[in-house]
Amino acid sequence: MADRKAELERKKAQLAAMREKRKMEEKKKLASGGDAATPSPGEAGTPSDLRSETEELLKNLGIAPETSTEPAAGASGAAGGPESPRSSPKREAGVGAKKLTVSQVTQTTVVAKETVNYCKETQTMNLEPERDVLTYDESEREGEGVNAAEALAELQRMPHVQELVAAGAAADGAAPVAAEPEKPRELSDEERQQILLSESFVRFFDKTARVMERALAEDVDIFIDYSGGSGDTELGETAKQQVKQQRVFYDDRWSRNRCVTALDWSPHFPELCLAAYNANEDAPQEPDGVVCVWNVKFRKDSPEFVFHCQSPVTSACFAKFHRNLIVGGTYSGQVVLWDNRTPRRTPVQRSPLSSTAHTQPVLSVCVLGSENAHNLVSASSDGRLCTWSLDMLSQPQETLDLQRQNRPVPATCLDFAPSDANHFVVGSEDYSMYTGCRHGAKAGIMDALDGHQGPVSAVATHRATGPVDLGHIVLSASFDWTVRLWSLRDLGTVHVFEETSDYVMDLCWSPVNPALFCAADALGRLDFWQLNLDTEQAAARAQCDAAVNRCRFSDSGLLLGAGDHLGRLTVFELADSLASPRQEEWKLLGRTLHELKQATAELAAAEQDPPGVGPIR
Amino acid sequence: KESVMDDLSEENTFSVDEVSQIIKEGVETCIGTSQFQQNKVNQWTSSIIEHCLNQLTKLGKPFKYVANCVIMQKNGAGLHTASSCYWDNQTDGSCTIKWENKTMHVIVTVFGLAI
Repeated sequence: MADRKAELERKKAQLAAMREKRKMEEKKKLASGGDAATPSPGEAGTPSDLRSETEELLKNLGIAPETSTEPAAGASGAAGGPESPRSSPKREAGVGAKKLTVSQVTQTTVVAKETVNYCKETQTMNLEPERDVLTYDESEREGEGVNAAEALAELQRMPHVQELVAAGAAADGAAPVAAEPEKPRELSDEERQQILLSESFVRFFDKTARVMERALAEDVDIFIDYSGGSGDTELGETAKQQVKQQRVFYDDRWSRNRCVTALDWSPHFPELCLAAYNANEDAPQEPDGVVCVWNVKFRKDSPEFVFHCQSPVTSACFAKFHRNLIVGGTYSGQVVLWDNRTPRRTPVQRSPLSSTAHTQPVLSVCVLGSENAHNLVSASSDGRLCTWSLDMLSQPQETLDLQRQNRPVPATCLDFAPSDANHFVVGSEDYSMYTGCRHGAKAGIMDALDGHQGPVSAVATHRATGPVDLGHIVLSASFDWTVRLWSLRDLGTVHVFEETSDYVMDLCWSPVNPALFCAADALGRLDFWQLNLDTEQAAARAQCDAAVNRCRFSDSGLLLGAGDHLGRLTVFELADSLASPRQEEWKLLGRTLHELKQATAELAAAEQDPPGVGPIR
Repeated sequence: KESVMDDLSEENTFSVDEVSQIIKEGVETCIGTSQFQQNKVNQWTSSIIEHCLNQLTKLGKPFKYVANCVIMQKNGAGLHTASSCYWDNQTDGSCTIKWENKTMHVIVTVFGLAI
């Protein structure tokens, strides 16, 4: 920088000197009178002359001459230096007019970073203010601000009370506050919530609500006069109707859009029945499996208890020897246990979802055995039978895989003989029924009963107990529109009931009348067959509005519950003449069965060799 | 006497590659590995621009240069700049270099206009 400056000075001095010289020469020229002025040394060519002339002119005008001989590169640094040397030499030659156009837009972007915002707050619990502490905030004057006069009046009031009570109490500041009759304190919202959610309140509320519902729903005629005689005709009419619809149980929240998958009557309380439902597809947030316990005795419309679980319930039953437990089998293969002693609606016990237990829908659960030695037996649709202890559902005590010809049985229904915890009958999807036993050397499937032409949907072993042992009589219902009566003694069909015109969904023997059973089909029709009266035609018929999925007689035999696929549980009342057995019912039934057997055998023989034609089979 | 043909010679067109190289060097020399510091940003921008212009003029080309430098701290904010020019596309040109490290973005633009 310094030497450049020095250089510049030098050059300036040089130039100045040169100009001086030139000037003198000019003068000399002028003085000498027009001799061709020799071009000054140091400049060559015409342009330099031109330049000097212009410089001369400029100088005369007062403008300092440009230092035009600076090297281009050195001078252009504009960095911080105080003097800014002029930049590159002027290009004097005018180049041709350039074509100017708008260039493309150059864009630069820095992308913003998206941040996730969330808010987290904690709130301390609001403790109840101590009762002894005098707080002016809690009086009705809230919101007005502190009024000095009123506060003073309050203050003055307190000592007033103090004087009244202080006769007995020693000068104790806090005691008189309690002495003043407490105005009923308004509970704040948090306090209200706390009380409402406390366990004792919930339990109390639950119980009393149930009582109140029953009381409100009762429709008793308190003015009835038993000495009057106007009610007889009504009784006569109803007597003719053998099966009458008594009630329909339907809950808008829990039964809507759900199919009834299981029905059971309570062995302890004859008025309680349970219905298990599967999932409601329209309400995915609601729990998938629901079990409602309904009460037939009272007129109220809501269920006594509602239990739910995460997977649709496919079978359920009351635990026979425990009055508070309900067992359910679910679609996922879990066996769950509910207890109505707790306010919890979810199962208190669940079996594990492992391959040691069930992995397919549980199609039947039942409690077998006696009071002191009982087990829960569950069967799933892959032919697995598990035995559990009701106390411990974490692991089955025994498992038995039902197999026929080394293939698992695709079971659809299972039933045990009434007093026998060992032998059972299972119906399967491959059109046949199997008998089996749980224990013993040959545990598993024993015999097969073929005959149906469709998957077997229900099996029912004979329930009524009486002088004759009819435990070998089994009914089976199938999707081939027929109901078959079998005898396990000779492993053959006794009779085929062919009156239905749709899938027969469920079957149930009456627990009191040995000759009565009910078959429900997918058209909603309930056929009551009385074998001693007529074996070709149903003795009574009832109709439901929707396809009936399950039907069960109550333990008294007088009521029948039918669950349909829309979630409705209809309870039918049977006339006494139909439901109760007559004295000779058992004997008659024995004879009927014999007759039926003979008839079937004759039919089979006739089919085998009809006159003139070869065997059909 | 200058001829018009000079315009098309290499000497007289804006060389984007050369200029971008110069700019990159400039930024690296001046900032290098430093993290964003409010009190030093001034220094950095000036030194980057100084360096760039110095090197550009050393090229000795008959060009006018305009240099622009933006240093933005990385805070999650977004930025968008754009520029366009009305010039002679054959001889003039511009070059933008984006450089970043963990704490800042540096954007240097140099326009070169033939004289």
